[in-house]
Amino acid sequence: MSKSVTKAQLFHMGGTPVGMDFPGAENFYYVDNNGSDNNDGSSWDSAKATIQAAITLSNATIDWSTTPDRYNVIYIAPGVYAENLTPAYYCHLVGTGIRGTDTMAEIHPATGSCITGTFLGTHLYNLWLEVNTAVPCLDIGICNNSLIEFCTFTNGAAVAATAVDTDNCTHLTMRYCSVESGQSTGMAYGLYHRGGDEKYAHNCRIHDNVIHCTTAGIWIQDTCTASQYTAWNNLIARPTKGIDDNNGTSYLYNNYITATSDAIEHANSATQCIGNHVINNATGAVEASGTD
Amino acid sequence: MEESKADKMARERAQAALDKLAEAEKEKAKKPKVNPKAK
Repeated sequence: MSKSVTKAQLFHMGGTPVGMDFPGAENFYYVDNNGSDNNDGSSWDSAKATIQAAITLSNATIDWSTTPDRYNVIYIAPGVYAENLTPAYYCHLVGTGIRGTDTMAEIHPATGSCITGTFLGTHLYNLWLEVNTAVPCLDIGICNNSLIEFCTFTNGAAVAATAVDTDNCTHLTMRYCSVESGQSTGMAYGLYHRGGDEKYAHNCRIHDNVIHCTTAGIWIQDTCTASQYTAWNNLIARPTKGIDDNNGTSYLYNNYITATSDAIEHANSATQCIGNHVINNATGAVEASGTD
Repeated sequence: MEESKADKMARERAQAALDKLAEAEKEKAKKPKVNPKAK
């Protein structure tokens, strides 16, 4: 005997098609570009049409006198959302499609970044993030305690875009993401960590990402203290510099990198880069250590 | 675009965490480095 389920039931039975459910979450909101922002967003049948409308609802529930111990969830149906978003805080932003072109929840503004602003308890899951101009897909100013996973970053035109850009950052995890391009000009940077007086990329965990780019897979400015920054198991192809830590404070383990100049540039590579597998185009060398 | 109340609160709270980190790093730098083998 077969039993059919509705779309709404599918998403409520054991979570989304990609297996992500949040039984302990506080409030749930739904976005479908076939919906309407006049809806209340409380179910697929009354979904908001825009992601920003759901983010506004979610952010309005936060009691700022404390730190929430139960986050909100925003589920997003597959489709293209031409929006320049501001972030959701203490919130899981979950795409419900399967990775591929035009099969995911795609945030793809006509110009500018997909999301701009502070990341605080911000969780991005299974989203396609695409830009048409030479800007970061995620233009994160300040970041604290946030997670980006199973997301795809790309450019929709031949522009030197960046996947993730931070000004001052602590406890950012980015894992299982893809930086890729179908354009004649590829993505320029995977992660770009800016520096300055008392600026950090502290205690970040960057692992199991595939980064195809042209300038650098991970770039850390000399004035950006990357204390306890740890990157491992990333596959980086084929920028000028694979991982360029100008501050020399990060720890790099077991990354696989092909670069046209330096696979790893790191002032303290002898003590902080272990077991990286690199090919430098200039020499064709394959090295077991992290130095070049 | 005008900053919403949530955006302002989030920015201030995240910045406070980074200020705390900067303060801890300064304190750490002040501490003398001890060689455990030194007598």
